Amino acid sequence: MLLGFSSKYEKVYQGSVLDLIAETVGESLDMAKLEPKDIDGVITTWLPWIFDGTLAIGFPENYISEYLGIKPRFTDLVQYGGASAVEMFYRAYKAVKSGEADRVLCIVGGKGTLMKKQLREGGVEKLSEVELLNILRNNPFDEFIRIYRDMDPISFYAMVAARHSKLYGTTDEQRALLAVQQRYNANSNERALFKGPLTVKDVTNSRVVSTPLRLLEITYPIDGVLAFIVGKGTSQLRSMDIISYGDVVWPEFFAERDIDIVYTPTVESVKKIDFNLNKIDAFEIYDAFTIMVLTELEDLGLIEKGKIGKFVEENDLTIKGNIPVNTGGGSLNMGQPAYMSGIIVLEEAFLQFNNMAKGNQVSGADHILVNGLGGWNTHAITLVIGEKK
Amino acid sequence: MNLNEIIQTYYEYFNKEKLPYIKCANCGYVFYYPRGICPKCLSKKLSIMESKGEGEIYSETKFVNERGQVVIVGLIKLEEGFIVYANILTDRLENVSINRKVKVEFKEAIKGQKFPFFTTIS
Repeated sequence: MLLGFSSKYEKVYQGSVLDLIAETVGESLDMAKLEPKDIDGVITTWLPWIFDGTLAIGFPENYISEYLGIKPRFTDLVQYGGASAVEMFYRAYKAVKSGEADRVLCIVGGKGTLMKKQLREGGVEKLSEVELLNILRNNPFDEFIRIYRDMDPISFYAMVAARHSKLYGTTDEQRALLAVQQRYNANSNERALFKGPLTVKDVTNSRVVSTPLRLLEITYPIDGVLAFIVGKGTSQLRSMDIISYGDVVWPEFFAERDIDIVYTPTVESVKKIDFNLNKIDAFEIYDAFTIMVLTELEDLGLIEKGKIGKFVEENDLTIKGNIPVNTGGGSLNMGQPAYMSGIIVLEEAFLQFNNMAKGNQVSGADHILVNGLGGWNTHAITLVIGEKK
Repeated sequence: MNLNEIIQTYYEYFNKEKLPYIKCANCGYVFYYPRGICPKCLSKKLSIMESKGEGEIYSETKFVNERGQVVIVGLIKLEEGFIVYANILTDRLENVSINRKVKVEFKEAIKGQKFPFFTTIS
């Protein structure tokens, strides 16, 4: 089912994202032993600014296909934020299963550094003015939301962390311990961009970005692209299937949710999973912030809500431990390419399943759970991948 | 009222330093973010109400902006049952924490238009 994949991540990439796309698509086609003419489906995603720093008016799936000389008979545009890449994999799988396409190329990526530049150099204020003029809207209530100064999305997840601590006593050190465990994995991963020794104290002594979240609990924006091909036919990769899946959308603005903000939509997506989580060999969990991983692990049902702090202390979540989580170090150590970290967790699952993780391979990685999370805890998709026998 | 009329009414309330919210006459649901229909039952029988403007902090976060100023963003649960996302203004940062009582305060946020902010009740 997975025929080929390739990625490229850099702290700052000077060229156009179209260069990165052309390179990674070419490599993924080579791995699959296919040519552009063999591709009949394209799935992508797009958000303002962070593709090439430009504002998209529409039809990104055409824009990208046009550049690559691909004529798809099936396209899809997935706007699930951080959950987009994982959702794309699932939709491509469904499209192939249903016969809508035979070989679907999924492309996710852009320049995370451009988003950072816009946000840090006055982009937020500029954006507010634009949005107040109703030129650009993300939400029907934008004029009642964007008027306030925040650090979206850090502010939202910081409020989740603050409330988790208030309700359950989760400590800064417990969140930091997760970052330390993921760094342990990254230090064995030759692809990780952020490495080196890291202690709980290093994390808790790092600069506060938005209380209670600190610098070393937050992903660093980078530039990068992942291309992967899902389709029929044989390949040099191990035969892969989606064993179980669940996805869910919580479209409400978070101030209007009936459920406490310490819950992620994973609490619903996992209800559709028909697989014993005790048999999962590696968990690849969306990790733009430490608190996301902690709340996702709770919502997956590994531990009841509120008890994750103790759980992190009592279990070893590294690649040598009893519950390997984010085996490549996650986005906290790979960085966050544009369209968020979904490509990091998804690609790590591809690598683990194919015994291609150099230095950080978990032995016998036959069943891997991937959890994507997007927006203000707005989208979740949970997949169990493995080999159907 | 249609949506644009509701938004205009909200702006007028803000400039009179009143905090509006909406109550559905059909199902009783109360909400803040303006709509021409109830998001629970789709009824158009909506009334714009005036909140007391008092509530408590549901969650909050503080950060330092590019000018070196501390900014606080919070979710405020009002006594009438709805939640508003807004900045919290204070001279005493230690007063801002989850469950602390707050009240609304209006401030001109763009030229000629006030918006609701919140401040702790000491």
